[in-house]
Amino acid sequence: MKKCVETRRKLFSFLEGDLDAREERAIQTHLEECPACSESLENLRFTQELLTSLPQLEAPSQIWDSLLRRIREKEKAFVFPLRSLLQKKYLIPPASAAACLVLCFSLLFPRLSSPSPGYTIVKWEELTVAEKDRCEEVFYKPLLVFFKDNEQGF
Amino acid sequence: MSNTPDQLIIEEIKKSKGRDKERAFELIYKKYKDKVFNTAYRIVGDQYFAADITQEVFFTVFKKAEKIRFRSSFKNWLYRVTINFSIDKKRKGFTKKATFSFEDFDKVPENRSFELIDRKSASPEELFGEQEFEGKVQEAIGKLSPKLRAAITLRYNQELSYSEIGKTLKCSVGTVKSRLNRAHRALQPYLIRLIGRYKQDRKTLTNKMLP
Repeated sequence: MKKCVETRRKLFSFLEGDLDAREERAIQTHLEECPACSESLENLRFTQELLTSLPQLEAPSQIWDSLLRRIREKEKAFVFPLRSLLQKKYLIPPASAAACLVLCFSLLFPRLSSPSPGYTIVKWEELTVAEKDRCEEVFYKPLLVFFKDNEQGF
Repeated sequence: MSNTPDQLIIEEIKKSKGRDKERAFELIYKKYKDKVFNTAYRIVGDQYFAADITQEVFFTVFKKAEKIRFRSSFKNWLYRVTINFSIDKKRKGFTKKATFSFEDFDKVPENRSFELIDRKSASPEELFGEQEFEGKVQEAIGKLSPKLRAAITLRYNQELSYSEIGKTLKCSVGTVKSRLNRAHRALQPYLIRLIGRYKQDRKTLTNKMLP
């Protein structure tokens, strides 16, 4: 029984001719007197045969077509040094933050961010009625701030 | 030109541009496409994913040609990349869809996607019908661990020597042998019925042939 276990372990090496002469002879002798072990050897031989006779397939031609398309695209593409930073996922957060900031700023200080030439900020209550009538634009009345044209004057 | 050693072709891919680069790349592709495809197929067990892996492997060759160093041969490197990609794909459990779809392959006439180019021993296929035999053996291989599967594929499908398998899998010849031994023992229970029928059919076939 012990011999069987040992033989089974060495069957593969035996089949591949990897054992030294003494071991090989020992296994040969055991195989002759043990039908179970010689069946094991036969099964092993059949397994090898099954494995080697698996068909070789041809790679489908579509692979080359799509490979060629990919490498041409890669060759054509101009690689900008900071390209990875310009990717959409990296751009979205800072861009939206900047947009929010600009929006808030322009709501709070409509003309401060881009003051038109010739306009000044004056307190609404300091103006006379006539001036108020002639005002071109009034922004943010609650804050009592508005713009008037300097050059034309009131 | 087809006898040019791989190293020279890779050098050409590195140096040249445009059409010349494509031509050099095509040489390497044509030489190894079936080897890569079959290795991937035997490991993942799915032709569409094998096609995906083949494309990925060769795209890597093109992209990383500059970085390929020839400490081992290009062939061993290519097999190693193929095996790593295949095992990776198998491990991820095919979460992503294969880029190659069934529609792509249906354009091939006779509804047979792949042609058999080589049949070394026709006997098992003749005995059981190709589909059944191949399916069963492939299924059994699929039950092995990735390391054993890689060793079996390289040995019996690609017919590499022990030392070449060792270089590819970065292990010693002794390890290769022990993996093959383990793989064989693991395969037995799955193949035993197939082997039984194989033996039986062969016996009847031999008896018929005898006068």
